[in-house]
Amino acid sequence: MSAPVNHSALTLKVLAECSVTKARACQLSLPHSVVDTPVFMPVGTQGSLKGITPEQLENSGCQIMLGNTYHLGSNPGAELFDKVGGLHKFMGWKRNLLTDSGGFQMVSLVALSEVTEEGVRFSNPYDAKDMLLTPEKSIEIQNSIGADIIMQLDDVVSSTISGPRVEEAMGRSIRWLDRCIEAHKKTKTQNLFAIIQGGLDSRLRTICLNEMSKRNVPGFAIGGLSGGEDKNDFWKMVTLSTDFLPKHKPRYLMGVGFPVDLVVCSALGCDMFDCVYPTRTAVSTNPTSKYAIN
Amino acid sequence: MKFSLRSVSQRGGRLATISELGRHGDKTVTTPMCLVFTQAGTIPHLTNDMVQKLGKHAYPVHLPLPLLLESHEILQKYSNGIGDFLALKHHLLYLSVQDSTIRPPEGFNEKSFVSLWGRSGRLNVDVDKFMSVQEAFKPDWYQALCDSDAGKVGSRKRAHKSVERTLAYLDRCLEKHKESEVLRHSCIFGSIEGGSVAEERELSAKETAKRPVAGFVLEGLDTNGPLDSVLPLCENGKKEIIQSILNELPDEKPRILHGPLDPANILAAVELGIDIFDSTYAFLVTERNAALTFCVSPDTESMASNVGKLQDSCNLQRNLYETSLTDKIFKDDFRPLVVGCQCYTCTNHTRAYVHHLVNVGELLGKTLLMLHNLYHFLRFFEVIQLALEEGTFEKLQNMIATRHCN
Repeated sequence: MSAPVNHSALTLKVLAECSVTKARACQLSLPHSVVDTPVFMPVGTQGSLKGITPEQLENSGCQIMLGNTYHLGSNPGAELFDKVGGLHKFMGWKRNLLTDSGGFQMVSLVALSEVTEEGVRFSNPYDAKDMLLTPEKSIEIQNSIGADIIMQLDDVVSSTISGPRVEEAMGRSIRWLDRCIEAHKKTKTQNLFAIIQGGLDSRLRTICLNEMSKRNVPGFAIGGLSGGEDKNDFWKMVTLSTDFLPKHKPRYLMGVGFPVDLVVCSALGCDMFDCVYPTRTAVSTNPTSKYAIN
Repeated sequence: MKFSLRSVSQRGGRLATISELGRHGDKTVTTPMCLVFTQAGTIPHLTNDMVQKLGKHAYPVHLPLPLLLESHEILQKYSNGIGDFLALKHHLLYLSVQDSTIRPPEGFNEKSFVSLWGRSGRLNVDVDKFMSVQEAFKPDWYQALCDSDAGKVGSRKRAHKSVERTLAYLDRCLEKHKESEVLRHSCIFGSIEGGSVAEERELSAKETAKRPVAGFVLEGLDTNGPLDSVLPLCENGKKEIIQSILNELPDEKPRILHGPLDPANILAAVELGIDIFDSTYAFLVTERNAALTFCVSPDTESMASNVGKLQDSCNLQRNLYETSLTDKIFKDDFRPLVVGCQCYTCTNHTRAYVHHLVNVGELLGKTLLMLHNLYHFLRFFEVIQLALEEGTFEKLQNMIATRHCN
């Protein structure tokens, strides 16, 4: 279980374990502050949590929040973060930050994107510029943003897709994880998490779990779920993953979710969650919001 | 309500204390003062904990009636009054007839009713409806129903109508006010109308002064929004009209002038003898993503004077009271909005962050700007009082004029 080089800037202390389920209560110590898990991480996409000041957020008890690399990489941009010394300083948030890789937004928000072994190429609808997001580039931007937890660039496919593309994406995600690990410059202050892929196929998931847990990363995320798949398939993939993943490292279930899902997946052994649901719902009465839900 | 004049300076600016504030018996306010403008019942962009950070000067709150009118029935059921309903009950609540950030269209008031523009459009309000609203809302102060539509400039007939109707409304409001148990502790203000016709203005002022009102609102002076449409009071004879009105009004009652007046206009109005204003100016500046940066004391380094030293790429055209945070020049400017400002925004955040927020359309941008702008604007009123006390009012006027007026 111990590795020659310590790539971890966190410690996880399991405080209690449920005698019936796989749920556990932990203390996750990150560079900026301690986080009590299971934890729901609100999404502050563009360096702000929808109208709330960092002080109000702190007073609400939030210990960790998300920023989106795709958005922040465009505005204000990595260069500005280098100048100011990271997003924490830029927005005045003293506790923890987590950034995603930028990959999901590129695929979900952009009409025309193309994934190759090199990276994700797309044209930005706002300025029609061509951009290539590689594992190296994603880590570079995330290093500038300076979040306590950063995510590998993964090849994301919709959970409703089946066939060879799922296996291709799973294999590529492993190779991209290695490239991310190689590119990551700030291992003492930023924790790079791997993202388990494999769709709804337990064989593929198991291969991915096997391979990725050989890499010495501080934590793991379960990706490629919460994309509209049947709940009956969803929970099976979650529990398969948590059965396999090491107990002494945090498990982050990406994009989850609604209250019921949070309870169920905590029982299945997940520690960290994120979802735009609460913030999106709060602003959805605004007809001009581009994220208004029906 | 007790209005005690403390002093009247040579050039006319008045200092006063208002006490015996009904529900808030122990509190006092000093004038010249600024009412904190609300839109549909909230101080724009600010939650109550943010409002607390503005301190005691955010105590008097301005509730324009139009966007609250549709809550009439709900408030009747609620029965605890609008202050309680809006979680603003610890504030002094003043209910005005119109919303001074906009100019209502002309020609929609009739003899027995005034048109107010609510969320879903035009609402006709007669005295009975109006007083029923007051009884449901239970404000501390309220402006009696008034017709501020004086028609085309110079039109005597319509100006006269606005005076006559407003006096008629006032008398009926006063009758109902007297009979009302729930409005026992509320104060009613009369409005001076008459457009730009001097004789009508005099008539309105003389007659209104005879009524048992707590104070006066000077209406129909084209000081409503939008922002850039408010001309200096020295133009178009406004100053003279205001003077002629105030000559007929008793000294020992407060005078309110609504609308987004810029600092030079505020000072001109204070000099003439106006006591109470609203913060619509600070609000409208916020709405265009700008920060108030005019000098409020010799100690605070005005951002405008700073920026003036930078390159011409800076777009500061409109005027030098404010600075637009959309300007790319602030992308990596890590100083506060106004160096030396003690507001929450300036002590916790930077121009670069606020610029980013307004650039990407984040809600927090307006919140941080509104907080700073209100703080800055309320501080300006502190400075005005100080200048009147110290006898340096003229100096203040000169400073504002030379540093900030085009």
